[in-house]
Parts: sequence; structure tokens; C-alpha cells
Amino acid sequence: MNPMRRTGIILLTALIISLFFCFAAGADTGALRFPPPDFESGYEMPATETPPSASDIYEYLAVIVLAAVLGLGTYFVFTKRKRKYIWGLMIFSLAFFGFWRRGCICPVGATQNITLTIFDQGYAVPVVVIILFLLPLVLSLFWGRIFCGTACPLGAIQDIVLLKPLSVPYWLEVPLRLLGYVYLGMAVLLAVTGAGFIICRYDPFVSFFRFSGSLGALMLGGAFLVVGIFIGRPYCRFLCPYGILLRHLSRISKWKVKISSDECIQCRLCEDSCPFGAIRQPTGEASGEELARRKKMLAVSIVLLPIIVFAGGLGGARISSLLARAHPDVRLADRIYREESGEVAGTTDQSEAFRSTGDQSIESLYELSAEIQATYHQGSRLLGAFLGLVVAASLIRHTVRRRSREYKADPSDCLACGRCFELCPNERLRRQRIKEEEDLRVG
Amino acid sequence: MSNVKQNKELTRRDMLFGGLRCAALGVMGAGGLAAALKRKKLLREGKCLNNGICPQCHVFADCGLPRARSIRDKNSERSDG
Repeated sequence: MNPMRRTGIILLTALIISLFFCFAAGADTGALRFPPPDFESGYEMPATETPPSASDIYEYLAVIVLAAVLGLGTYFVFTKRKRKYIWGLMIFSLAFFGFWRRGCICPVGATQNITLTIFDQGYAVPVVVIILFLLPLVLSLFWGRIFCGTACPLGAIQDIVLLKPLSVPYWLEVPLRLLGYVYLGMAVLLAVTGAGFIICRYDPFVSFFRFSGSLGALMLGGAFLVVGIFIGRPYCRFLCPYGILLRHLSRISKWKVKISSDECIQCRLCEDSCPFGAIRQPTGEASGEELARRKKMLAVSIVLLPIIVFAGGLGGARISSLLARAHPDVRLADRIYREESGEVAGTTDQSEAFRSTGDQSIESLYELSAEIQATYHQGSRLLGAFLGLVVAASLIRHTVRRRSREYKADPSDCLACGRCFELCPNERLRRQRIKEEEDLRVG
Repeated sequence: MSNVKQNKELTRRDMLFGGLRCAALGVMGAGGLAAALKRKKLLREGKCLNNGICPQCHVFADCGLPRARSIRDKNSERSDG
């Protein structure tokens, strides 16, 4: 049996089993377990700014639709190899996952929920969320970033505004990509410490999907879209934390997007067509001198690795107090302290609520704040070390030279948009041959 | 000779990637199962868990703004009355 078909069957079976498990666990995820109390004071429950939790059937529907989109996307990218089909699927995903489901829940934001599930003993996400998070990751192990190209509404909204693509120089692209690691690290740290879900809170496009949002959120989203007219998918390439996970898993994917169906004629059309800088040039044979130089650079990078990691850890520890201020309890304790010591006049909503409810003494708030700050100290150190490791690994990666004889789409950066093979002359010839064969058969 | 060497490298690389893929699948499968079982366990213990992920999510309980406003309104009503 064709290995691709076999893997497809395995994935489909896995999906059916997980959906069965999902339905079996369905009783858990009932509607509101406790109705809101009747307030004697006349207090009315405020309207939530986030979309209400959908009923179970819609959650399952989202999983089924995501699986179908990913399956179709894989078929379009690897078998049909036609950009217009991929584009159509992308628009459908934008409409369904973006505007209809109002961008929630998406695998990108689910990163934080899964993190919190791992670290918080009292928190667990519904099975649907686990599947939504894992499905694109599992798929990327086999076919690369199909999710980015076909199913992600955040990517789709940026893709449709890409009108005048400009290439980002490689020397700028590499450091910009590191921002995604910073964002991922921060999101994990803040989710673990309970400070909040920054990926959701600062999602630049969710205000468009919900037709509501603060002015700041709209401006942020607008800025990304304006930049996205010239720079292909800036959020996906330089910030998306889920993209980081997909990037690393795609690197080891079993099947990779092939630009040319035949031998590459090195026309460079694919390189010009890719707005995401994912096409790598052929390297040819290296001279002995260059190999020696690269070996030296590799040795230096390996020696530098522990130093960079250590420096990152130190740097992280230094900014821990700044990061800790992201936690509301730390901010509240600081505010109360400054109010008590007379440094500031007046109160805030939070400090007034704290005093009025009287649930907690000021001393216990200070103690809690100190505990949280200690956690941040450790977490920031780890975050710094992680970022140091990423920088060092990036240095090492750039010293290693891989032989290649043709233009290739880098699986870690390729978003499976289909632009490259749409322009490839070999691919056009292949399509023409197929069309001729079909015409002959019909005739 | 060079081709043979390259093929060997490719095979070695493929094997390594295959191993990594299996490991990644294993980790994701085990992690997913553990997360699903954890939810079941917490529900059995009578914990109140959020249904969706954004609304009623305890992470957003830090907001506190509506509660603060209602208390302020209540206090101002009392002082006015």
C-alpha cells in the first residue's frame, strides 16, 4: 500500500478513536454546572466580552471541520497541487474558524490552556481542546505546516491582504523569528503563574472576527494588516507561538512540499513567488576552505552555547520583577503598598474592591505577592536560559552546511500556500500532460 | 562514491527523523491522554471546571472590574442615601 495512504488511514483511525473518546467524555462538558446566584442587592451579571461557550455539538463540529480542512488541505497541497483550491480552503477557514466561531477556540491560543493543564493541578481543558491543539501538530509530523496554509484564520486574514509582497532580508528575518520564541516563552510563563493568557489577550485579529474590541486591539490588528500588505504574514512568521511548535515538528516531517515535479531547471520563479522567504537556494559543492571555516565556526558556536544559555538565565532573573508585574496580585499588592505609604493619592477599582470585600488581609496579600515574585524569579531565569538556548542553537544551525542541488522549500518555514509550484514551469508541463491525457480519454 | 555517501547520510537522517517522529507522536499521545484523564478525575472529585475555555475561565477571574464597579456603585448609593 502507498505509504502516504497508509499514514492517512492511520491518522483517520486515530481521529475516529479520539472523536469516540470525545463523545464518551461528553457528559463531562455539560452547560453551566452552577446557575448564577440571585443577587439581593440588584446586582446584574455583566455581559461577557468573550463569546459564550458553545454547546458540545458545536465543539465537536469544530473538530470535525478542522480534521476535514486539514485532510483536504493535505490532498490539495500534495496531490492536486493547485493554489486556487488551497486559497478556497483558506477562505472557508477564515469564514468558519474566524468569523463564525469568532476565533475561539483556536489551536494557537490553546497552547496556554494546555500549558496550564500541565502545571496547574486544579485546571483541565475539555477533550475537544486537546484534540484541536494536537491535530495540526500530529499532521505537521507527516505533511508539514498544512494548518498554517489552509486552516488558520489568523494566517488567512493576513494572506488575503498580501498585495505587494516585499522580501525580508535574511539577516533581518533570522533575528525577527526569535521574537516568536520570546512570545511563546512569555505566554507559557504567564499562563503557568496564572497571570493571564497573553496570546488571547493580545490576539491582533480577534477584534475583527468578533466585530468588537478596544481601540488598542483594533489598532494593533490594523497595524498588522497594513504591514501584511507588504510583508507576508508578519504575525505567523515572527510572532505566532503555535507556529514555533509547528516549525520544529515540520522540520522532521515525513513528506515535504516539492516545488518541481521533475528535475529543477533553476529558473528561480519559485524563489520570487514565495512571500515568506521559505525557498532555499541550491548550495552546490563546498570548497575545502569553506568547509574548514564552517567547522571552526561550529566549534566556536558549541563553545559559546553554555555561555549564552547562562547569560540568558542571568538576564532573565534580572527582569523577573518587571515580568512579575504582569500578575494582577503583584500589581494590587504594589498599589496597596503605595496607597498605604502615601506614595500615591486616591484608590483604584481594584484596591477599593480589595478593601471593601475584606476577604484577605493586607499582610496575606503581601505574602502572596512575595510568593508569586519568587515563582517569577525562577520562571524568568528558565525563560532567559531557554531563549539563550534558542539563540545558540540558531548560531549552530547557521554554521552547518547542507548540500542541495535544487531550489527547495524549507519545511520549517514553508506555509504550504502553493504559490511556488503554481509558477514552476515543470509543474505547468505536468498539468498540461495530465490535461492532455484526460482529453484523450474523453475523446 | 559521493552519491553512495550521500545516500547513506540520507538513510541515517531518515532513521533519525523517523525515530524523532515516533517519539513526538508518543509524547503527544501520552500527554493528550493524560490531560483527558485529568479532567475526568477532577470532575469525579467534584471540581467545578470551565466548559469552554474563555468564559468562566478561572484565569480571567483576575479581572475583578465588574465586582469593583458594583461595590463602588453600592457604596456611593449608601453614602447618597
